[in-house]
Amino acid sequence: MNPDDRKLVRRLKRRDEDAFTELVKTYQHKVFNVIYRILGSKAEAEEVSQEVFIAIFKYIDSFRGEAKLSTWIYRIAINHARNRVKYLSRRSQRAHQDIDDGPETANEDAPLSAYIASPHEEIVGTELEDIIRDGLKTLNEIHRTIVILRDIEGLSYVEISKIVELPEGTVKSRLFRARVALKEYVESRYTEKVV
Amino acid sequence: MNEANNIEKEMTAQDLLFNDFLEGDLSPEEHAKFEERLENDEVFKREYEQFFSVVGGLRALPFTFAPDDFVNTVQSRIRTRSRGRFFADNYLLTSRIPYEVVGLVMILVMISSYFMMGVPHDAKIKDLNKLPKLQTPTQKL
Repeated sequence: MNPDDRKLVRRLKRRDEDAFTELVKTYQHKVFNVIYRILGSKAEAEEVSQEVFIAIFKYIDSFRGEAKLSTWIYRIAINHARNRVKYLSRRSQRAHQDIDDGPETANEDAPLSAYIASPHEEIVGTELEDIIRDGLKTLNEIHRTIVILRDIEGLSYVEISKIVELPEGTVKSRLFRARVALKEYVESRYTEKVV
Repeated sequence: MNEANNIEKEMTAQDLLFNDFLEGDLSPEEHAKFEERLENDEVFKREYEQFFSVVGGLRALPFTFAPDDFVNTVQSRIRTRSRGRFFADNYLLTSRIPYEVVGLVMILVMISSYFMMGVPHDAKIKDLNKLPKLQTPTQKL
């Protein structure tokens, strides 16, 4: 942990309000962006990001400085986002059951596209960007998280491994699988268009 | 069927090679060989560009910013949830004291007052064993 972070943590543990403001200002966009990429909804991302900072404030005394402050914050953010994905997935399953009264077919890793409600939220971008954004939603939650942390947030394997609590080798292989799955998704979308 | 499996394996091996190149995991010799193949093999180059377009596309996704009032919303949620107890200006005055601490303090107070006020005297207790002499009205006379 660098000296600035150490000072900030010391102030946070003393419940210095200015330190909390500083922390939120520093990390709000990073936390929001990563959660938004995992959940795919701005409204959900806002709600979960707020919960993340409340959790940081609540558990700051348990932060022992063994990892970087940013890694610790990312870990809390990812855990909250993953819990929300599970919650939304369960809710979606229940809603489907109410309609179909059929057996459960989806699992916790169900594609995010199953419960994305507001397509209007999507920012107008290039065609490939849109396809990639859709492709991200089709990945299961852990593959999506790893690809976001590596390719969007630009974190190192060591940091990702600490955040998702998986060995580095597993992170590498899952990243590879996620990239291949995305490539296949992009290809299939272009093939559809040609046909 | 076997041919299809072989093509799939080959594709995966190729993707793995692309991935290692992007991650800088190739040795200097492998790296040089890769670049040479990129220059000379059109199909290989096209395949690589397809793979790279996905990673490049991910990296190019626009950054999404938190709403403008995010900091204030978080602050007010913390204040509401902690009923104003959280921040330092009144944290010490209003923070909750764990009941274990209260219990321990009470025990210490009782022990110290027991010793300070003195243990009851055995002698006094012994006196209680003697029956008091009662003066009757006739005795008075």
